[in-house]
Amino acid sequence: MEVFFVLFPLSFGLALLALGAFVFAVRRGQYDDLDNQAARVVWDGLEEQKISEK
Amino acid sequence: MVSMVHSERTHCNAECAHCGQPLPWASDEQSDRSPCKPDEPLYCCRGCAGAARIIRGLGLESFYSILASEQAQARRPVGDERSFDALPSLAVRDEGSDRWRANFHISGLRCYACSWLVENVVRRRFAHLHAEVNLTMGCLTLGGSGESTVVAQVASDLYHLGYELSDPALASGTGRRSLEERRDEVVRLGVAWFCSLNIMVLALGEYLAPDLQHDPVMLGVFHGLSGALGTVVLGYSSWPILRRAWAALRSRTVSVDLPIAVALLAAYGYSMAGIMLWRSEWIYLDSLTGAIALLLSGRWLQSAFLDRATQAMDDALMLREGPVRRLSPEPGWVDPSGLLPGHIFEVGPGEIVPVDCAVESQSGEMSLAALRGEFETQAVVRGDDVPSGAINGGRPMVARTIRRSRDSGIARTRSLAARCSLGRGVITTLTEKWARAFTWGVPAMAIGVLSWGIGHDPAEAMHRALALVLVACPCALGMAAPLIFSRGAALGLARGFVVRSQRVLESAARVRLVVFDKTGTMTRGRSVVREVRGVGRSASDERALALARALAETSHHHASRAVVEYLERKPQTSRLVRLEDVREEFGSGIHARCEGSEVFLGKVSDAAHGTVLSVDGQPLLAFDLDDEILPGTAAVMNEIRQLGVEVFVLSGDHPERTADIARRVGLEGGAEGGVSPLGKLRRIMTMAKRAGAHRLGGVWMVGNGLNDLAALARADLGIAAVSAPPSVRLTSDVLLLREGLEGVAELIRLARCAQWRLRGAIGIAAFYNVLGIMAAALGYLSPWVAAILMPLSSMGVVSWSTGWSVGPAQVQVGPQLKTGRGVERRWKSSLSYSR
Repeated sequence: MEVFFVLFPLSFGLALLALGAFVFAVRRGQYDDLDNQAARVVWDGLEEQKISEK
Repeated sequence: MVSMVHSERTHCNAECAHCGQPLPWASDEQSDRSPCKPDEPLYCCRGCAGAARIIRGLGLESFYSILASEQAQARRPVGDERSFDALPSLAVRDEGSDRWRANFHISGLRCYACSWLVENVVRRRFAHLHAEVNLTMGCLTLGGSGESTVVAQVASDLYHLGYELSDPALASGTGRRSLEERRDEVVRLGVAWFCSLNIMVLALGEYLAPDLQHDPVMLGVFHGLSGALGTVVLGYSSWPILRRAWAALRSRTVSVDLPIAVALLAAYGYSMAGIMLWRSEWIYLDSLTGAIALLLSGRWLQSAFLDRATQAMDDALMLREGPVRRLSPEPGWVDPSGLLPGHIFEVGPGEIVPVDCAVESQSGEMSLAALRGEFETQAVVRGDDVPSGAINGGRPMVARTIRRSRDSGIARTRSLAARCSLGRGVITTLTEKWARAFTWGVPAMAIGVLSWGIGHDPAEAMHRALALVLVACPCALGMAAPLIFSRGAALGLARGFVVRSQRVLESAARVRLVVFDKTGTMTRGRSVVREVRGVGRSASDERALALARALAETSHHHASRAVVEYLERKPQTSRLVRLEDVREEFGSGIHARCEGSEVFLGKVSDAAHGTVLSVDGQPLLAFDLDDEILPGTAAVMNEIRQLGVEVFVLSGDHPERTADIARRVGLEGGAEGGVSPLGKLRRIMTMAKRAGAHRLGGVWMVGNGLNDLAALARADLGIAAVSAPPSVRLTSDVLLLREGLEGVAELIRLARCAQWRLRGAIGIAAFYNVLGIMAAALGYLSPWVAAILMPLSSMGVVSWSTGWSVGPAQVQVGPQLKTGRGVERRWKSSLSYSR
């Protein structure tokens, strides 16, 4: 039963990490445009063109 | 070799030989094939190359020398030039670095393909810029380093593709939520789900392990964790609900958040007490937080729908009235409010005159259709006064400002409209009535149960009061109406109209009478040839028709354009006719000489509405001009009347023409012409008052011009046709997005469906609540069952409120609602109150 003293903090910590990642993603704007992101995967031609290549 | 070509290219005049625009697309292939030589011209595109080939092939190269001459430059139409010089100032620089970012509202986006196009165009044309389109919010973010003036160029390029960039601050006039608010809502929602699911896992563990009850340490940990998570949900995720409830309490207004907040706090308090006092059966945190998560999910869905609808509204409203080209004192593009008395400015063809002004050009053509309902243009000469709101029907015209825009006619009509909308009757919506009942009724009942129990059995009384408050939680009511509206707004968008608020849709089902404006609403708003009559000879005489067409093509007058449009459909009239000595007399017609005879095309007498072609004084052809009725109008009128709603036409145009149009759409006798804008307002007020007094329901107004503004504001519901200017769109409740009046009939059907759905939701909620309250008060419902019922009822409400559509079968809903009058009754006699 003592293993709970390891399990609890560990799982709780992991859960908080997940929550933190979620909040981070939202604050950085990853959830702002749910319509386009689905389509972005199949778009081509959007490679950043470096100025030196031109 | 490469460097030689490169230096040759830099000496070239890198402009398209046909249109003169700079050549941005010159790829390496093109320069290899045709190295720059003076006699081998370069073109920017296939279109220009093809046009140049045709011109040269026909031996018309002198076109280019005429084009280059000064005169041609001076008389270029104002047309398509738009200035985006104000946009670069929106760029925000990162501190300490060269980089900047700018955020714009972009209109014209339809789907992923548009996003892809915009991003690719920017990235290929401006390699050092970063562009990202946000389709959900309709905005474009640009990033780059160095000077931000390139933004104006980007905006100009996108404008020519059909996408318009604008200042996001201007576009949010209709109350769109900011990016911060949206993100906040998503975080709160995510946190609520995170906590509630973890609480459920903990609770599941507790249920599955009965000997946990005998281990106070573990139990304490479980309960403590649940309590902590529950506190986070209540204090953070549902904080907006609590804050709104508190605000409603302090200002003594009705808000559906108040009973919800009471229920949430009561359940939370009870559960926390259970944790502190080691009474496991008092803890309902799992159901409570689950209910909160579902409630927030429903509201998030609703906001997402609403934001999408608002974006479409912003595009449809086209809030910008557009800059004006000022000629003096300082030439340049200015906002209309920057025109002071004495300033000289230019109005292009088809543009709206922004201020009260006087004509400076020699002559011009003005259409007062938006102001008065007459669709024919009027000739004006230098010195004539032109009111703001008139539309330039001819060549570019120069004018001198008399009054500032805020003192001009448009502004006065707008303030009149604003005052009128205040006088509108307040229809209490169904949701508001129920919200009131809940806000006061439920806490009263809970207190009643408590006070009964205080004497006998406090614990039991607490249980029953808690169960009552939980089961009566109006989550359903709070969610149903907004969700139904969102769904209705989305359906409306697909059917070609925009509903501007929830209140509008709720009150729309009670319509009894729809009043239509004529010019521009039921008709195209411009002259069209109805038929050609031959005077003394056949109407299909090709020579005469060709002569008429040749004469008409020399003029910009609306009658000439109508004749040209009509005759363009007859290819045999395009033969070459040699005209000499062409003179256009404004207000009269076009004189010329052809093969020795004096020919004339124009008005013969003031009374006749038509245009006549005459040779040497002898009339040959008569063109009957008319205002073309939009196709399908008669069918729409019929459909509206079959839905049990009456129709009337009010117009500022001549009474005979109005009566004629009414007859042609099947509204015999149901029209009135020659009504001034003030007269329209009075009519609407009378009709609305009588309809309201007899509890007959709403009076709608459908219009498109500034002369309808006051009436639109005063009617129970104002609908702006697609051709309405921004000021009219801003004051209307519903905007039509397509040409044609089908949207009006669709709106009636949609409103009735939505009403039926709402009544259904409220009916089911009422039934469920009454049953639940009785069960709770009598002790048959334990709080944990009530707590489970909360999220279940929410899920049911969401599916009921969003899973519907408008089908033809719904039309039968009409007779079930109280319409008060039979459909077969002739509308003519029932309008006795309007006289």
